[in-house]
Amino acid sequence: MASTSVVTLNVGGELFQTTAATLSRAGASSPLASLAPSPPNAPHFLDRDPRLFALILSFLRRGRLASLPPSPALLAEARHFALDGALLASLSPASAFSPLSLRPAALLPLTGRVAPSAVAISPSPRTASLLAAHGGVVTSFDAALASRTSVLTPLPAVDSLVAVSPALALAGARDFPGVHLCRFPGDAPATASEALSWPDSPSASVLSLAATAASEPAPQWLFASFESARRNSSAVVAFDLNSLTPVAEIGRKEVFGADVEAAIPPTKLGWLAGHSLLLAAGSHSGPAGMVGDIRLWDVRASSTVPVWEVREKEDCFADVAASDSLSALFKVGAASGEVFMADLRRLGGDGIGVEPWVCIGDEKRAAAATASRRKDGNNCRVECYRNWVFVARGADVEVWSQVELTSEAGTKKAMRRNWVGNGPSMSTAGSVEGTMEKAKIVSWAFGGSRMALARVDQRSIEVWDSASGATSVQL
Amino acid sequence: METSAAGAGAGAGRRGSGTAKQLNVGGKLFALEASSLSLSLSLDPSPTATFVDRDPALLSAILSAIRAPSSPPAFPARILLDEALFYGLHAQLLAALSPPPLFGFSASLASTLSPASEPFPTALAASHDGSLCLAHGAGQLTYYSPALDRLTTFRTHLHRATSLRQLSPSLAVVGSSSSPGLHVYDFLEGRHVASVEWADPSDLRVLKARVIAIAARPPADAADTNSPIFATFECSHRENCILAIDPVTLKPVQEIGRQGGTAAKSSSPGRVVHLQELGLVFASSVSSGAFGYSGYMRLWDIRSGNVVWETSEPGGSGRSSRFGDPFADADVDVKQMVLYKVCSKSGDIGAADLRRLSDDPWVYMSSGPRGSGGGHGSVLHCYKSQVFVSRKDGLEVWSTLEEQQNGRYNLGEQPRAKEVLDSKGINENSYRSSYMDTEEDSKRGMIEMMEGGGDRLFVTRAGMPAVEVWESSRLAGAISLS
Repeated sequence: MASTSVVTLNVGGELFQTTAATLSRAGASSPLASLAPSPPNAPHFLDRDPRLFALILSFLRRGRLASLPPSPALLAEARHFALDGALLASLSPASAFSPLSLRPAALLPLTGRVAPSAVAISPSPRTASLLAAHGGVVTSFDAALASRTSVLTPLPAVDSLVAVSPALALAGARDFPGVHLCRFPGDAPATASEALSWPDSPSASVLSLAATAASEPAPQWLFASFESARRNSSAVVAFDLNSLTPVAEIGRKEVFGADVEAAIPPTKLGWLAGHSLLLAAGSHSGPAGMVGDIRLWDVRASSTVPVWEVREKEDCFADVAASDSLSALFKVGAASGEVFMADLRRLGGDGIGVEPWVCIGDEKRAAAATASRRKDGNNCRVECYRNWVFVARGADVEVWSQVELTSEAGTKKAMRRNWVGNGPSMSTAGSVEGTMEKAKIVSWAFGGSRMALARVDQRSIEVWDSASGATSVQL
Repeated sequence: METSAAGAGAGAGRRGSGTAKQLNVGGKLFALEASSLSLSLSLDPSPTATFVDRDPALLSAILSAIRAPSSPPAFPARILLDEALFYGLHAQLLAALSPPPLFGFSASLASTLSPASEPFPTALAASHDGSLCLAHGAGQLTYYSPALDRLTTFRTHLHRATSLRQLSPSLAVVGSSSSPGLHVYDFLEGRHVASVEWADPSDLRVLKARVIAIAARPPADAADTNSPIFATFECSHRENCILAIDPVTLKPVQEIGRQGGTAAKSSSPGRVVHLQELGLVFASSVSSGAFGYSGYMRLWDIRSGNVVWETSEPGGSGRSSRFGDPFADADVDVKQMVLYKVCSKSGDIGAADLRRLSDDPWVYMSSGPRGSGGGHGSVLHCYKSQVFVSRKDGLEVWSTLEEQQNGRYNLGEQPRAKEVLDSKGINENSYRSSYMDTEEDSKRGMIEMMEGGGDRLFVTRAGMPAVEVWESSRLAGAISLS
């Protein structure tokens, strides 16, 4: 062992040799990082289990675990070496997310009798811990899906849930005031004692929530769409998540008289980090049909005039979502149920009156369904994650992926659809999916390499994973 | 010094006399044969053990997998193969993890591959290393590595890929019977590389031709690794041809066998096989309807573009003893130079020697009363000098007895056999048929596609959302009764 950087460790009587560089990957807070190179005859002694330490050392060398999932004993050992964060983050890396490889991986049972109403996954690059709201209880599962913590919020039911970090979640309800902060400190009991509210109308209820990404240089913000208790005024309020103070009020609207459609409050918020834009969309269903507003706000420029807005009358959206990496807005038409796309780079540039939406599904069917005033898109949801667009149709999830065609003339891009999993056409016994009961999707979330689904009247959360999971079934 | 327990003397040699190289892997001592290691490790000059900062548990799992291939490895194959790359043991480990040579009569269902989304297979392409490229659902491609790990899944722009071939090392040639063009994708990166269209400047009707079949390319050990890709294209007005496409430039180089496509005798071929040694392309077309099967087989000379030999059924030429029993499927065994067909009514197998083709070259073999399923919907696939035939009631394999040539069997009493032996043609007595599957296997559905690759046979069935992998196995698979 001529090399001077070799560290010899005596762990519970067993000798391990590694390099100082490997140990320094544990991070400065870990007791392993400070171990100096030592010769074999004078090893560092650690009074730990050598079998678990072998797995820890293997994780430091390779950056991931060789055998999944980790045992609770291994997680506890990782916590001792201050490695649990890195270990949990390696379990569900966002880079391993591939919608066409998603398989049902786990069912997370929830306590009590109330079915979950909202799920959320804390965003990468942090550990993708999973949150579920059932009744007024918010439960947090760690990324290994091994342990859980619950907290009781003052809300009787939670409608919107946002995971900011593994330690912080925000919950709001349509009919009850305030955004409630659920804190999950790893070493102390979880609490939900603080609340944020609209300063002008403290009794305003929360229609939707969105948070800016933690990776941005600016301090993290929370956007909450409030509607006053009398339903005559609404606004999106931005809060600074560090100081928990309101910093801006965006797009405040008041209803005068019966003209409800003039001030539709946003029921869906979305944050586009790459463009620094806030998407706010709301719709109203009246006797004359469904009408909706979609607005894009540049929060730093103006809080009264949106960058772009559109009033949806024909085939109003059932749901809208914005994709950063595809630079586009996507909607599902409430009448047609087809998916439409609007390129963010072309919005507003071509003059007023130009239809921004391009149907990426079946255009003829969309036109026919709109003309005959069908309601095929009711209850459809759309969400964007990484490079994909997901549409929930009843009990099934559809994914749109971008396909690039290289040709002599240049690069052509097209959106193509597939089902996630077997899709609705199949009901085979024997497969994992066949044994699960498929009910309508109530809430869903994407994060890390996972998709989480809450279905109607089912007291558990379905977790689909594309990282792990057996590829071939040995008979 | 720590005990050299785990792997001491590990590699000390299957081949015996090589110089042993001492490795200190994370504190455990291993001795491996220097010649089997990767260069950076074997060239280390230090006389003592070379220190390697790696996981010793993985190396000992790799070594035990190489030494005792039959026992299941302690870690997932993908992790062991990744680790083996570092030590230069990848090829050895892959060989140890691969199944033994495929013999249909001793093969069994080893595993089932089911893609995660929309798992109904639409096309298969296996490679000689045992890897599989699978087209499934609405235009998705999934690539399984030689260890049958799922490596990539991606979406092509096609809505349904119906023909697929692998081009080494990482390209897949994809065609669809519902949208035009032949498309080349890089299946490891999921990237579109190029498209090939059939165009004819003198005939404007040749437009948006779709791909019906792509030829299986010769195995990697063939002399000419740059032999062209052959694909049949069909226009919407049914005019069709076979295009030869250069595998490097991905441009069409030659058009063979252009035909109108209005009759069954000129419809576009559903199977093409490149007979490299003979400079021929085999093309067969089968159509079936209420009145039974009809189809043709043709051999085209690649250089001249002429038909060398052809037959069409029903009718056809010669004194066919099998009138009213047209073939349901046909394939060529390139190694044996034998053409095989399965008859649609009787389910019998016909074999024709490619070196002595005539008006009626067929030698018929019947699997007897067992093959009661007939040949309706049969699929025939030649692989590793064996003929795999699917029937309604199962999967049958025809193998040749090699001992026959040595005179182990006394065939003197059988005049017909003697006659055939004298003329050095096909000897039906050297063929044996056996069922590959059990009755329970055949109940899973009618076989739609079969494809051999490496020492595996990949099988898809109607309505089954998975691909079956059939392998020979060394494991006894004893069931403990205690």
